[in-house]
Amino acid sequence: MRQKIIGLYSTASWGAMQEASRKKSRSPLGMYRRAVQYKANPRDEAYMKSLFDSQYPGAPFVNVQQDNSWRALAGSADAIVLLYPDSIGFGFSRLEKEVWRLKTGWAEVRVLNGRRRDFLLNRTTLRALRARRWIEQLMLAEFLMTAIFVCVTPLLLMADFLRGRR
Amino acid sequence: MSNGDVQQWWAENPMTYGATHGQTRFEDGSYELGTQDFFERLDRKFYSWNLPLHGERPFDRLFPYNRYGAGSQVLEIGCGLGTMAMNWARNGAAVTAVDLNPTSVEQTRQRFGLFGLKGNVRLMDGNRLGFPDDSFDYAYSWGVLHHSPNLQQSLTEMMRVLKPGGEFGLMLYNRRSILYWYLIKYLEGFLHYENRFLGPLALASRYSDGDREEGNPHTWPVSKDEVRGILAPYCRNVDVRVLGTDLDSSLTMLLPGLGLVLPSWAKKPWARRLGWSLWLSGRKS
Repeated sequence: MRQKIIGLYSTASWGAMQEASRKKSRSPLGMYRRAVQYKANPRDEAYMKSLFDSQYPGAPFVNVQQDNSWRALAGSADAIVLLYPDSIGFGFSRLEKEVWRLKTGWAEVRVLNGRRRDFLLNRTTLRALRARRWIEQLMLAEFLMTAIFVCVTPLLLMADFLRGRR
Repeated sequence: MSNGDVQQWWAENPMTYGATHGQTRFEDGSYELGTQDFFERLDRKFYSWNLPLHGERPFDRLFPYNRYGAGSQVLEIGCGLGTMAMNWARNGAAVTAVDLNPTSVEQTRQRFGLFGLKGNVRLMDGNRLGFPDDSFDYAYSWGVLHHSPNLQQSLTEMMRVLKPGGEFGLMLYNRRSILYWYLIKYLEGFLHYENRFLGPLALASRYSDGDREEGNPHTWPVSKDEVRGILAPYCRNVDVRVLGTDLDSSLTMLLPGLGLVLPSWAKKPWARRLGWSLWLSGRKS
C-alpha cells in the first residue's frame, strides 16, 4: 500500500530576516538579523520544492502560510516531512508542536533540510535542534569568543612587541 | 573522491571570485566570461581579498619577482583564470601555467591573448606533471593543492620538476584557523548539525569554497607540520607564514560589525596566528 506523505514548508521566521537583508539595515537589530540569516543560509521555496519533489516524487508540497488544508492532510498522513529552509529549522517550533498534536500515532515525522539532509525527527533529535536554535539566536558562543578576543589581544600584542614583530 | 570528480566540478564552477561561486556576476553587474572587462573585474576582486600582500605590484610581498625575471622558467600549478600567471609573465618570466580544469586553461589562454602576453598554458594533472626533472627555476601554487585528493603526490611532483636551488611558494588552507574552527567545525559541524552527516573531510569540503551553494568535491586544510613533513626530503628550511587576509570577514561572521569596528592593530596578532591561509616557501636542496 502506498504511503501517504506530505511535505510542509514554512517561512515563519525568515520574513523579518529577509526584509532586514533587503533593506541592509544598520541598526543593531537589523545587523543581527542579517548575520543570523547569512549564517543560516536558508534556501528559497523553489529550491525546497525541487528538493522535496526529487526525494518524494508525487507527494504534496504545502506552504503552511498559504494553504490551510495542511492540517487535514497531516492528520491522515503516514509520514510528514518538515521542510526546513535552513539546517536546524528556525521558526518551526510552533509547526512542530502542531504536527505532533495532529498526526496519528504511527505516523513518522521527518526533516528534509536546505542542506539536503533527510532524517527522522524523534524527541531526542528535536531537543537537540531546539537547543541549537537557542544557542545560535542568542549568539552565546560568539559573545564568549569576543570576550576571549578582547582579553587575549593585549597579551598577543605584547608577545609580538617583545619578538620585534609589528 | 577522484581527480575526475574534482576536475568536473571545477570545470563547471571555475574560481571567478564572483558573488556566487563559479558565476560572473559581481556587485556592480554581470560580466561575460573571457572578456577583458571580466578579467580586469576578477583581478580587482581577487586583489581586494589580499590587500596586505601587495606592495608596488600584486603579491610582491610574497613573490620574489626580482629574482625570477627575464629568462627564468616559472611554473604555476593550478592557474585558475590566470591572474597570477599574468603577473609573472608581465615580470618577464617564461611562464608555464597548468591546470586540471579545461575551463581554466581555455580562459587563461584567452587572457594571455587579450593582454598580449606569452605563456605556455596546458591542461595537466598536478599529480603527474609532464615535464622532465629539474625544469623550473621557481614553482608556485595558490589555493589549489588542498583540493587535491593526494597532496603528497602533488607536492612531490612540484619538487621533482623544480631545479636544485630553485624556490617554491605554496598557499594552502590552514586547519589551525578561526575560519576552520568557528565557521566549519563549530557553526556548520556542531550548531548546524552537519557533524551527524559529514566526517571532517566532507565537512571541510562542503563548507569551504562554494559553501553558499553545495560546497566542492575535496578540500582538506593542512597543518604546518603536515606540509613541513612532506617537504622535508626536498627542503631543509621551509618558511611558513600565516596569512590572515580572511580575518575581517571571519570576525564579521563571528559578531556583526566586529571586523569593521576593530582597528587593524588589534586584528593583526590574530591574523598572523590564526588566519585561513598558510604561505610556505623555501628552496629545493
